[in-house]
Amino acid sequence: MNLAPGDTMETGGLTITLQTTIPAEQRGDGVMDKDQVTLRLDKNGSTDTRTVDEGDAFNWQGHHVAIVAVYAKKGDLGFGSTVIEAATVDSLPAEVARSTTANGPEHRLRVKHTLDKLTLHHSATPLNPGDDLAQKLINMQKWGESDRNWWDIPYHFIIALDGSVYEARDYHYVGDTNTRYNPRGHFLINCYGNYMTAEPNEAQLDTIVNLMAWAAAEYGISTDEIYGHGDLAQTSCPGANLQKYIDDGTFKRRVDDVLAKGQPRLQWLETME
Amino acid sequence: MGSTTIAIKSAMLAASAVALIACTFVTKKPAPSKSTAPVVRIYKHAAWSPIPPRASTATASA
Repeated sequence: MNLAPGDTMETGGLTITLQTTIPAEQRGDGVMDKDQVTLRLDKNGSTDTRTVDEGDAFNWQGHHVAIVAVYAKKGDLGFGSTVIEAATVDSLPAEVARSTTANGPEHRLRVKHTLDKLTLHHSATPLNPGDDLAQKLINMQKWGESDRNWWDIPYHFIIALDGSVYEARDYHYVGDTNTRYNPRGHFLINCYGNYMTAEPNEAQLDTIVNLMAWAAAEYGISTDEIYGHGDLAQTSCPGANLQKYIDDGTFKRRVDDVLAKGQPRLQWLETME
Repeated sequence: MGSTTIAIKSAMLAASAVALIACTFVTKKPAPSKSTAPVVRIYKHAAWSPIPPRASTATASA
């Protein structure tokens, strides 16, 4: 989960409060390549305060806590946020539970969740006719692994210009974000492109509506729970040209209209080579 | 006699045709109603499948 100083997260009775973040160049101990954080830990009346390096992990009161990433430097994507994972020691494989480092994306927790929100994103990078979207997704995945320590593409489904959909992260698992909201419970749809400047076409809008309607029916999600990323965190995502359809109730109305006819059907296709 | 036979056969043929048409109308089943729910076409996550977990961390209680 992404925390800013002062934020807290809770898991299994453990409360973690991020007190401070210290950029590497301000540590004053000669270590120049690792940001640092100070955490307050609370559980069942026990309290501890720890200063931990980015990339380190430790166990406390039956929990394993990993400092996955710290974005403490101005200009960092996600500046001001610290990514922390915590789980009960008993729920983890021994190799992970005893590790003193957060390690790479292959060690990230894959946390199942119950979907209760429908959230729309865009990529903020342009998508033009003829672009190879599959290759763009591979690039996004590689970047996520190397730069963000993510185990997969952060979104669940990606929408192409022709309205077709590309499966991304398994939607049974919590997504990821560069911003400060908790994506647990969010069904994450990314309409690929930059909708600050481009207008979504009707095929894309239809698919957004149909995909939302499928998830709403499948999981009993209220159509009052349709959000743009910018409703949840400080960001211009999914772009004004998509956000307007959330703000004026168009998506809610259209999803309700589809649901009145029945749940859309998902047709799974083999990946294009 | 011959013309009577022809007339009777013609009448029988006509009656059969009417019966066939009537039967067709009676036994014709309505076409199954097409679902109006839309279909979402999804390309499977394969070429960009995620890296396998180092250990099975999928069920972590976080």
